[in-house]
Amino acid sequence: MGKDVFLQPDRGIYLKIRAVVRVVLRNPVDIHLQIYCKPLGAVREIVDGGKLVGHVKVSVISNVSEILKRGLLAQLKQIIPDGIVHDLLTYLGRGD
Amino acid sequence: MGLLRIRSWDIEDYERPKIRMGGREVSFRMLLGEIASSKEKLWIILPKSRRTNEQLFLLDLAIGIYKHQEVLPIILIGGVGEFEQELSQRMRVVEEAIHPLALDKIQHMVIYYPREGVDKGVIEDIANRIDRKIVVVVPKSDSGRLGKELGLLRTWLL
Repeated sequence: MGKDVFLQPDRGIYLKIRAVVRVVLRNPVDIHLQIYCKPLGAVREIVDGGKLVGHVKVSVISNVSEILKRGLLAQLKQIIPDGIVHDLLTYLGRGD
Repeated sequence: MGLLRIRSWDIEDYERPKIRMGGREVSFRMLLGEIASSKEKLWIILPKSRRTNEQLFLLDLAIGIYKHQEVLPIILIGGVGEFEQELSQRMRVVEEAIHPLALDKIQHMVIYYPREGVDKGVIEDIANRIDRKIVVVVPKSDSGRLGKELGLLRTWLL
């Protein structure tokens, strides 16, 4: 999946591709980045206008499912006693 | 902000209700699949069980939607007049929790459990005002009356 991203020098950015990944630019330059992040965890080329200008390493922070769980947990902690949130997640929501 | 009075031992007593759609009994997983895949915006569930079971079903549904469909439910509990305020507040909590993702970048929907006194017009009005799919679990005290009023709306009976 191609993705256009604008990177700042020495800063990580966040992309949503098949998961949320953090891309750290090794070269301290501003570029308009077209990056291909599959598989996750790979070192990928940074191409600017068809020219190879550097590499990035794609490291997984968390996948989308884990992020959704964070969103759900934050809500459950607001509406039911904290002590039973884990039990609820374990007991409920199971299939048939 | 809406709270549920659920205690740890209530969970052990929880029994998932039978789910009927158009008079036909369907599985819980089928219900989740229907809600996720359907293009219908509004779903109304009319429970026929005791209050604790009804509230646990609300959470069961929310957790099931998250686990099986990778859709984030936004759970709202409260008075009809507080709907938009509650939604806005809950969305802020969710946005903080899922950072760096934004809510509008992921699949999400609303599961709403209003306090007693909700009627057909209010449900339709809420559904018209929000731009995402919404499942309303009607309190047991209102479900009998509402069931008769909701002739044209698609509903599930538990």
